[in-house]
Amino acid sequence: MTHDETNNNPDTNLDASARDLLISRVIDGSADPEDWSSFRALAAQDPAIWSELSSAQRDHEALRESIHALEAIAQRVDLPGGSGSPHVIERRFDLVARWGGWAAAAVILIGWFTGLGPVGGAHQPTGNGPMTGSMVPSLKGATPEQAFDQYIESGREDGRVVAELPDQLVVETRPLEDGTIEVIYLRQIIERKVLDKAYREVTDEFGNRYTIPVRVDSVVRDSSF
Amino acid sequence: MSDRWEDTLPIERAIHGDREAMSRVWEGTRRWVAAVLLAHKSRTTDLEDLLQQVALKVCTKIHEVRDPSAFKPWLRTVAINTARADGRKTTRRRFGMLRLAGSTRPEREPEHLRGMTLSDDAKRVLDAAVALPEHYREPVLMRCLHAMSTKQIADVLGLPETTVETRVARGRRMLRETLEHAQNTKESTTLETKGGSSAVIGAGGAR
Repeated sequence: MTHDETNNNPDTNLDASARDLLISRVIDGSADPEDWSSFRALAAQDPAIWSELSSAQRDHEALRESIHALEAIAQRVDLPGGSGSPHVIERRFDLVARWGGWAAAAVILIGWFTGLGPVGGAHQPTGNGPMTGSMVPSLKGATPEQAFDQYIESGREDGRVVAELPDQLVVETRPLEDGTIEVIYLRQIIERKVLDKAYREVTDEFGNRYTIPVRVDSVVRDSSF
Repeated sequence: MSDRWEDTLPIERAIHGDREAMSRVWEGTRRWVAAVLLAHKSRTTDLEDLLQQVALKVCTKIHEVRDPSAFKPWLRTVAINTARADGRKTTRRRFGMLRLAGSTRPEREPEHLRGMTLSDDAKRVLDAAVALPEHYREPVLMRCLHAMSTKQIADVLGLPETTVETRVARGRRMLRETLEHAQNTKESTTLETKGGSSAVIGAGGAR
């Protein structure tokens, strides 16, 4: 769109537009003497404009704070460096992207190097058989694995935990200085909960978010996660 | 701020593959590119990730720009497409997910500028600014960039200066009204939940 909007305002909006422009110029420090004369004349008729100016100035300062943060982020991002043709750079970035983030997080089995497996599977942190309630160690002093297994087991007993999905999602990998590899991954637990009521979240035209009650029909998902 | 707004960026040399010129062009444009991304990205997307994607495209695709005068509109289009493509991926990932909103653990809103410490006022105004109608979002955000003039914004958006000035002024008024409306309705939108837990179905749009 390249038309000049100032020339397309309905007559009824001219005053409002002029008012908006004056406030905006004052905020930007670009108001000339003529603008200031107009502003004073307007304020003499309608002192509420001072309050509008004050609110606008406050909003502008708050927004500037965010934009300063944005500029700091922007200054951290340089062009990809190194030698070679742009195609080589692109290929390198594709490789990084493939392994580096949610967007391309691959579902891969990582049990072979973590020793972790699906719930009810072969993995048992201690002993040879599945733990019973009496064998479960207290959480204090338990290893993360023991505590996790205890959560799964007691969750299953009271119906809270349905299952742990066998696949784990790799979020991030990073080679460490000692030659090992750090892997950040997501374990997926299916839980069950009984609710009193269900709500849907909606956003109105002003961007306000609120919830409204909804009736829930039976839903069974047959797709994989 | 070390970056400056330059009207004489070595765009032609950058188009012909000069790496140093490319770097200068990027340093002279990356801040408004960040503002464009912020205006179009989904709330959950990391701004720095998107900027890196755009930087990569500048490296690999700038030779496709035929005329240096077309570079800024081209770069803006690249930024918008990058933000929207990522938004579509995010929507696909979130589609069909149920989100539990328990009474004991309120869910944290994702932030537009993740990792940056902002005052509550700044967050509130930023949320409202990125929810402005599309035509007003970019000029309002860009006008807050350090020393970016109306003329430079007009240059990037491909609009007359008067149009940019009008959009900034109107956008600021809309922002003011939105914030006042939100403030006035804040107390009246308290929601009742019965018992302990409730479910929120559908993640809802970031905007």
